[in-house]
Amino acid sequence: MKEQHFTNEGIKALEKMATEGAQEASGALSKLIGQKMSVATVAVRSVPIERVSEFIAQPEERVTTILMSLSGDVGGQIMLIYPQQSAVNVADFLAKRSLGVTRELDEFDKSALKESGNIIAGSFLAAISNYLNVNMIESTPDLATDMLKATVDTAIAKFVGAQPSEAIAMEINFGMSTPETSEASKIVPELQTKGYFILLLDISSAKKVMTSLKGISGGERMIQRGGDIKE
Amino acid sequence: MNDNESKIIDISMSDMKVARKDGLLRSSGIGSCIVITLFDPLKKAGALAHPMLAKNIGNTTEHLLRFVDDAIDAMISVLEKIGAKKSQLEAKVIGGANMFKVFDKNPESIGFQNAEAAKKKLEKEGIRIVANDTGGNVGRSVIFDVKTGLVEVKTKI
Repeated sequence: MKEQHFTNEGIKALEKMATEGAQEASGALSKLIGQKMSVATVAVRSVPIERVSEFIAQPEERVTTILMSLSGDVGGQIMLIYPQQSAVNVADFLAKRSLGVTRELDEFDKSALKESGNIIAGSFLAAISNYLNVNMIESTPDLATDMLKATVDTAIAKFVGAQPSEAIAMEINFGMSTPETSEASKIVPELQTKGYFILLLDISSAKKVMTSLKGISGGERMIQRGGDIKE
Repeated sequence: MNDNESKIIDISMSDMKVARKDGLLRSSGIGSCIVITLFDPLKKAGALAHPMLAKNIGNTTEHLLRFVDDAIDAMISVLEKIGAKKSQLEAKVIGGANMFKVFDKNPESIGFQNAEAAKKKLEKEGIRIVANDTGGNVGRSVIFDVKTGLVEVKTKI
């Protein structure tokens, strides 16, 4: 397939990089919401752009998507997607309300969620910029609450339209839990808070990333697929 | 319902499908993309396309169903192959929303451009637009019943 620009080794290297980024991002989110958070899974997939949303949820699932564009040495787009229940949970955390108070997001919540996108993306990018030694800057975030596929495909159309080349999508799935909710969420699914982080890179940027990754000697950390980091 | 489920053909972004007699063509979660349905009421044949962009800027020969003009050409061609007549075709245009305020505003949103491109192309081909539900800032889902020509649009907001 034409979209397959990454080898298995390349994907593994990206997963390693993404895990570093995800650790930073979860640390930033922990500080932001004042709760201890952990990253449950990190998965990187290289998929054709038309299929990006398929790996997240059903096309009509209601989500809040925070969109940022990426500039600097590497061009692309970033999406942070919260399933709607998770979006209201994060809004409750951010506003220091009891979990479950919020049913619909108001303007204040949306603004706070955008800021969460800014901080998560910023810390993620800072980590991988450092890892790759490239400069990556995210734009101010925008937000839409609607059907998953409507928000993701719009972001993809914008991306493809701006630069008529192929794109590579990397997906990083965050499972988040706090000490207070991790046990309870097994019984009450509404307490589960999760998010999906998608990085779209055009081919020239993806190649730059791969070249930088090849220059990095790996080995000090092993990543279990979908699991924790082993030192 | 189960009977209907078995007749449903899903069409994702950058794709197009055709159906006859009692098929149901469905596209879920349409944002700035545009969905065009073409229906021949005499032949009971229909097609649904879901392109994402108004223009093929790079004149690429790949992924043609991403683009409004190419997708409409493909629909007409495949419908004519199964016996539908271009002069009998009725079009409906759905989608083209402006989902993100900051990213999708200048000069005209992708959704607006998609809707305009679809209307222009259909006009050029001499195909009548019998219904139009485009613009706004809400995502849509569409089910097109090829037996009746009925197109059902739903939103989640």
